[in-house]
Amino acid sequence: MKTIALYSIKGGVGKTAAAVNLSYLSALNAPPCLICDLDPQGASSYYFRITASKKYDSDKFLKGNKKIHRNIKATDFENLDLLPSDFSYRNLDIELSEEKKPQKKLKKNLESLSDDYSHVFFDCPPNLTLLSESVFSASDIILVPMIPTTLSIRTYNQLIDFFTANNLDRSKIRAFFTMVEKRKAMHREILAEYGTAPGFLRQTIPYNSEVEKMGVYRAPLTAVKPNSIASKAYRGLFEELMAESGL
Amino acid sequence: MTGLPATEIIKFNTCTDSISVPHILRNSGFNTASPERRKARRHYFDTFEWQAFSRGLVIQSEGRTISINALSTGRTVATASFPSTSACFGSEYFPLGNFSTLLSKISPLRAFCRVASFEVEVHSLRVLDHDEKTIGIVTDESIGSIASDKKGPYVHILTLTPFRGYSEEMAHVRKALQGEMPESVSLENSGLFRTLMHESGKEPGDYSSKISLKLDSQAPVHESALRLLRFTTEVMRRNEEGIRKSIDTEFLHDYRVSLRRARSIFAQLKGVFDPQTANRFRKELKGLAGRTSKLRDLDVYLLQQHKFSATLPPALRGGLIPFFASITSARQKIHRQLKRYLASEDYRKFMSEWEEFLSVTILPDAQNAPVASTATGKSASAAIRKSWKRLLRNGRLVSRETTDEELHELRIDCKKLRYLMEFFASLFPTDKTGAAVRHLKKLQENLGEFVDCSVQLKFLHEQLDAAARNGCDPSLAASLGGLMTRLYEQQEETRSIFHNIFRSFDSDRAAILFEEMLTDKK
Repeated sequence: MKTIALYSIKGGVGKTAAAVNLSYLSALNAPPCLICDLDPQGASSYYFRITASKKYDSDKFLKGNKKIHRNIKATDFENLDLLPSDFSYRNLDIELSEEKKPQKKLKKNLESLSDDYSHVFFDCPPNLTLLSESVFSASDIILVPMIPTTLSIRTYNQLIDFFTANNLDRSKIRAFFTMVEKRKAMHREILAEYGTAPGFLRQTIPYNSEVEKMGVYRAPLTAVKPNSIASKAYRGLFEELMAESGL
Repeated sequence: MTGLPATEIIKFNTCTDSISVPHILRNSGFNTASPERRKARRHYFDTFEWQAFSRGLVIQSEGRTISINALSTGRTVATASFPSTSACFGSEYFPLGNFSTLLSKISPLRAFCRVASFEVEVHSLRVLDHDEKTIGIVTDESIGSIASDKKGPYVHILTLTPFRGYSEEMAHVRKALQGEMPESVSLENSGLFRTLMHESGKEPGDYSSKISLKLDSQAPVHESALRLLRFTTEVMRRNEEGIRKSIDTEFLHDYRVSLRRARSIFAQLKGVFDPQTANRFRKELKGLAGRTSKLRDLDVYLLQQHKFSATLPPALRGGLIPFFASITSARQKIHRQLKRYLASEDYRKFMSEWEEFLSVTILPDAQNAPVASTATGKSASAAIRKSWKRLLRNGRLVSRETTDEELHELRIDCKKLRYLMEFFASLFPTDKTGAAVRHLKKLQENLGEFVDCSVQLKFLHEQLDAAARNGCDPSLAASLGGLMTRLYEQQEETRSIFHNIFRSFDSDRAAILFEEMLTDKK
């Protein structure tokens, strides 16, 4: 089982869109796949039309294995399951801090799934908290979507600094640019500077209004509009990720 | 409400085929989507002795896909593409993988043949919740005969398959459907399978060459012996077709075992039949066995093809290709001969006389058959005891050199005892016979392996001689030489452990087991 986190300190950069589309491609090409919605806003759960059952909450999530197993739901797509988030996840950080080894918690809680799925995607909430640290340790790849702006570059550097300061494995981090608008000079400049930098994937995701419409389709764009520009870009990203990271 | 299991089958009375699932569901607040309709022919497969069924599995093909499913849940365990319309196949028919591995686990030797075929009309749709999320699939299936003149389906079933995490919601769907169809009953997947087999006149698990007769210990042994002979004859009859069609090697094998059992009954239950008649049939049965033995020998070589090849270093394996090719063509010829014989007037006449003999239940004249009226239990104990003691006596006589002849003879003694114990197993407590048979089995395995090696060595030697006469190909000679070396090593190894194994059979513990079995009749 390979684990890939869609992570960014900044919000609104396209984490959920990437998690939903990449997990769908993974279910198609390297089944079976699970997407874990860790964001209390539950956007990826919403995209798949899934709500957690009434009995499910952050408490169950922290209990792990069996409780998690019981609350996984099938999406409408073959070989793609989802662990929905619950609004109670907003307290995950406080609850995690009361655990013995919070950084290792997520990894431990998902151990029993290793035979069930070949790939697991985490859709993470923005911020850099204890939950993020738990995600870092549980993930083989930390995939960071970035809008080509100076602020994005700044938070990316914050992340790198955090990894260095905490002695974490920086080689897990892969960044890629999203919502790219070639007509904007700043986008072009940042792409020119970072597009080929180490740790950055070559494939970029262009700004495409179809991606926003996923909220209307409530399905992966790669499934409903496989030939849209954004879908093709996600496919390119997926292939690059698979090839480059040996997933 | 408790959730549904992974798959829930609801069977409906066939007279209600005008149900509209979407309509019923709409009235209960569920939408449906992606309706699909297809018509297909579904075939079920199993071996002659229902080995898939007895392991709780069902093999079925539909269109170009074949799958192995769990009998109890209907869950698919393995699938493969199945482009042909073949009625029989073995595991080697499929590319290496999950499917073929599972097939060979179910039966390494037997062919899987079509046991029943149906015309299936499937109508499936997705059930959606208020969020338009699929919560499961409802499949409406009509399964009927492939013969066009038959009216109406055998069964009309609805299958509810909840998506993961939605069994509670699908339980509401079931309630809604069942509410509209009060005559419907829930059906286990295995029940559906049995119904379908029943409709096509098949009885899963109805064949086994193992003797399953329940004998009456007080009945005259003549009556019991006839019942045993009728049983073995029935097994022979049922295997004739498989031998003729050469479906797999086990038809002939079971046929031959039945023949040997029949001969053994005559040989070991002396004084039960009129000696003149008995001798005549014994001779005839022996002749029949003789007609089949060559084919069986060749089958055994062909079955060992992979094993033989694997024991040789790669450089010597090539020489075996022409060797096995010649065995294959010899087998074809001999099979044709046997097939002709089975279709001949001679065979028909013999079998009808034999079956006529088995149907006469009048006790033979006491002068000619003095023990015919003895109680079966008494006769059985006496015969087993005699056979067991003879085996012990002869085994103790085997010299330190353990010559081939000694071991050959002893193997026959073993077989005789084993047959008797099988014939009369129903008269003794199962735990006692089981334990005694286990002891005997170990000895039999040792002797069997030894004799097989020596028979094969002899055969290979003859092949080598024949090859030498016809201007021998050196690679063939090398391969045969290699094989003979391996067989010889194996034979010597079994010879070297014989005395140890026999000692355990001849131990006090084993003797107590036999004594207990023989005195502890039911």
